Amino acid sequence: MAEAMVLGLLGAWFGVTVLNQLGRRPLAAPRWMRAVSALPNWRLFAPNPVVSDHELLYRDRLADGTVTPVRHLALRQRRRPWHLLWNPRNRTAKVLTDCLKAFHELHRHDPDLDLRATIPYAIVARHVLRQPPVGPVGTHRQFVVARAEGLGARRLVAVVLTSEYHRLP
Amino acid sequence: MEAATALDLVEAMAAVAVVVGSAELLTLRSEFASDGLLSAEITARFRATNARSRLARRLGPALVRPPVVAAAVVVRLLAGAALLAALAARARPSPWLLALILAATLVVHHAMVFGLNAADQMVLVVFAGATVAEAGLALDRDALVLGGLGFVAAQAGLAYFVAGVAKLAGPAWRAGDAVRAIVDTTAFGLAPVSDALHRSASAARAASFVVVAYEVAFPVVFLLPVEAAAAYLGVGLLLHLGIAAVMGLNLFLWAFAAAYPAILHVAWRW
Repeated sequence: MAEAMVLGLLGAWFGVTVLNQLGRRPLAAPRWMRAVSALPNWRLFAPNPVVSDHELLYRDRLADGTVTPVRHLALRQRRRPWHLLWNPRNRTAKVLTDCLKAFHELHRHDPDLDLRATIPYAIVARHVLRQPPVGPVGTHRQFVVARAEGLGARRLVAVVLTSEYHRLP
Repeated sequence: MEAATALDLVEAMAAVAVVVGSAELLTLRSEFASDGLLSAEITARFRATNARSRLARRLGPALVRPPVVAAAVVVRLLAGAALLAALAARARPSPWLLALILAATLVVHHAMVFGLNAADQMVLVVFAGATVAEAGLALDRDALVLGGLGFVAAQAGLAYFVAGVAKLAGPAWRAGDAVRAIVDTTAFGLAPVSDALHRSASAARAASFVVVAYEVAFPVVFLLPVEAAAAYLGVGLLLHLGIAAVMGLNLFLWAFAAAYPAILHVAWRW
């Protein structure tokens, strides 16, 4: 009996995984399965591969109202040979790119949505606000999310989102 | 491939993924602080907002508290190392050890709203299947052994097949431009490889077509004789090695390779 239940659970898990690949929301899947990422999305780099990078830039506004030059915030480290075995920063870069991708999705579904009230915005804003100042210490900080395609001389960049000025902590 | 041998190999590679992945997370522990990218405060808010039951509203935010998550990561790391040590000593690991890794993995996943990838998901399904299979060996229940290893093999087969079929729907993959476009990004690219693929359009197209063909044809591995299946999986291993080297996706190598012995066991049983 216990054996049949265990095998039944594995079979059910596989079944909802199959349904999940079809893009349908499986009614049978409990919410906790999504909460612990137990419903895999096996559509790796498909149908559309990642062809662009997200870039994060910020600038500070000083007490006298002047604005500093823009600073580029690197999301990923330069690739090193040991990243084949050890690449912890891949995780933080994934968090940021997931958040930036979420901006696109949220904006696409509801152009009137106030992105500042969303979880990805909160994560990105906190990350930007803890970065070192650009030049003299300012009172407020603004960030820009940009999308870039190509490497080196082939690189093209377009602005996706410009934040308001946030008070620095 | 015998069940015990297959399970040893599955567990060894999955344990490496767990140890490396957990050690990487430990180096990122400051990111779980309130202003970190994996902010426990934001995750707790997200879990509380999305919970429907009273239990989930209480338990969800409690489980993402930094000390709880840190404990789960450390337990996962130590249990993964203990699993490797047991396998090195040619001892049969306890299914409870695998269940512990599985439980700790669930806690870690729950603490991350963003940042998880398919390698994390593969590690989860591998440990679920391996726990059942290991319990089957301990209790001498062949159905559990085959069920556990079969689950891992089926998930891996599904993963490759879905990835391949989904790529067929993408214009960039069909045109043979996808791999070059991917290695053109700083996120997943490498300048020398990008330059090489820009110099040779035919090599760029071939790289895309080989990936799609390999993934779409993957279910054939279950029908091949064991030696041929092993050779097919060897190509997959090279593919993942290339992905790790070029794209920096180091954990994919261990996570997906961990499923290969389960596939060989299923192919051998047939």
